Amino acid sequence: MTNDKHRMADEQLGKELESLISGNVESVSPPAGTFLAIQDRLGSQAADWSPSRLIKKLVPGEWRLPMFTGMIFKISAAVIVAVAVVAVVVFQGSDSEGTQQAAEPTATAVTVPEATPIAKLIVPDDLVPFDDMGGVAGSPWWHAGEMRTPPNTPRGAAGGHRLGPNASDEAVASFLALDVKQKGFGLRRWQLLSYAPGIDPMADGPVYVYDPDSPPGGVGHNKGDFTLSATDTRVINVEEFAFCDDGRGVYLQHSEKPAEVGETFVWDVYALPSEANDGTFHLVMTAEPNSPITCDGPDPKKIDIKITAVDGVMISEIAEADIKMVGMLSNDAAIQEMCAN
Amino acid sequence: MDEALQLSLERQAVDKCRAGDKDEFHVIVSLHSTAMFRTAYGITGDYSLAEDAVQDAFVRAWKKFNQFQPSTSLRNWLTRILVNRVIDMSRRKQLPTVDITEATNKPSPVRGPEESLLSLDDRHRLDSALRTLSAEQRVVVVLRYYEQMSVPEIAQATGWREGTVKSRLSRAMTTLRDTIGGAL
Repeated sequence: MTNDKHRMADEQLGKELESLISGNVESVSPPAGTFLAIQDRLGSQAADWSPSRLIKKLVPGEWRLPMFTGMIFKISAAVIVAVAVVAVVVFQGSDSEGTQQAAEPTATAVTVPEATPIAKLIVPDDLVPFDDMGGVAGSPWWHAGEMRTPPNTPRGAAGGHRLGPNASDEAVASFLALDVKQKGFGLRRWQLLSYAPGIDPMADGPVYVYDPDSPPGGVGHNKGDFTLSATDTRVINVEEFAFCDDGRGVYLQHSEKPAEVGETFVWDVYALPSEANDGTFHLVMTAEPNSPITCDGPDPKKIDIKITAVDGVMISEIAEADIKMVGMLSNDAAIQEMCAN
Repeated sequence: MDEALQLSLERQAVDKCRAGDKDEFHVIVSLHSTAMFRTAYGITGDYSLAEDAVQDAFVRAWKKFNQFQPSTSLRNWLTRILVNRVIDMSRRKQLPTVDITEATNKPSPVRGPEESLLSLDDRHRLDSALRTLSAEQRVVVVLRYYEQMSVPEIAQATGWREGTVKSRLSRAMTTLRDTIGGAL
């Protein structure tokens, strides 16, 4: 009875919303400068991009402008297009000219625990899918290679974690962050590949191919190989980090700027209630004010990377630069030994 | 506008753009910019933010155009790019939201259509309550009730799972329904 009442109310509410939103938005149109701005940003200067060019195609010889009334004759001579500045947000060395400007020390004050860094690692071939790692596989967050927890599904979890079937987004976020921190990054080595602008390494599907002829590994899957490689010519940057389970992190490798290899930082993970249902979380890495580690961003010593786990890897992006980043984790005995010290 | 002619132009433009003709992209921008702008404005309620989002979405669409499958809906593909951009921008710029109590006490410039069962006062409150929703909830409400998309279509356009879409829509409707109390 109550459900019927709600359904009827929702149907009428839907009609009200349709009317309301339509009334709000139907009177607005994009400003004329939008066309010139897009044209400019695409570097397409040769042709006329004004809406009239299309209108002429649609209605030859007729200057009625059904979509853009009153806009096309406004020549915006003063259109200044904000050119997106490529903001490379991954940690990078402070020896570049561009980074020097962003490296002004801020009020960031952290105490980074000492760790005995291991030497630069030669990229081994022991990277494994996220969901094949010990402990992670039993987690409620990983299903078919993706880390997701659709709302309103039973969330009986391994390891004593239990979320009710109607757990709040806040609870999902809290457990996701804890799980990622404890079972994902803790005591792992992380290889992060950044691809050239416009390249999506995930476009061709899953990037881990199981070999049916190999003996099972991980949680019973046959072992296989990532199709992604640090030596791929489309990769513009390779970084590796070690994550101890006590919050210490060590910079292990940077393909461009080796200066900070061995530098330490602290790390943490959090998830937002609005994002957690999609398996999205944030990795925060913070370096000391006098560390050579720095990044472009509001705080050059602190970076917040938004990550989503898909198909056994962790993906992120620098939206402004159209750069995709893919992270792969490794169980590495050297990391465990280092973190034990 | 003649729909058949519009579709024909769009198909020609898609083919040329896939061949790398950047100038022909203006046809796609012209055909879809108004609808995309209105969708962005419906979600953000902010003219400047909507304009920025539409610009960014088209620039990104061009860069990814080789990934577009001509057998699928260009509109849905563009909407997906736009929605992702709107959500990203909303988080960075703090999409203007208001406290629910404050929202329901402030009138907004809403006209009451004849077919509405709500009083003008309730429509004011509903309009204000829309601004209390999260960006994700606004996305599903706008796509569902302005764009008239089904749940599967919203899932396709946003990249979210259908369960996620349903959940966000349900929570948004609960919030909005509670706002207007027993008026419906």
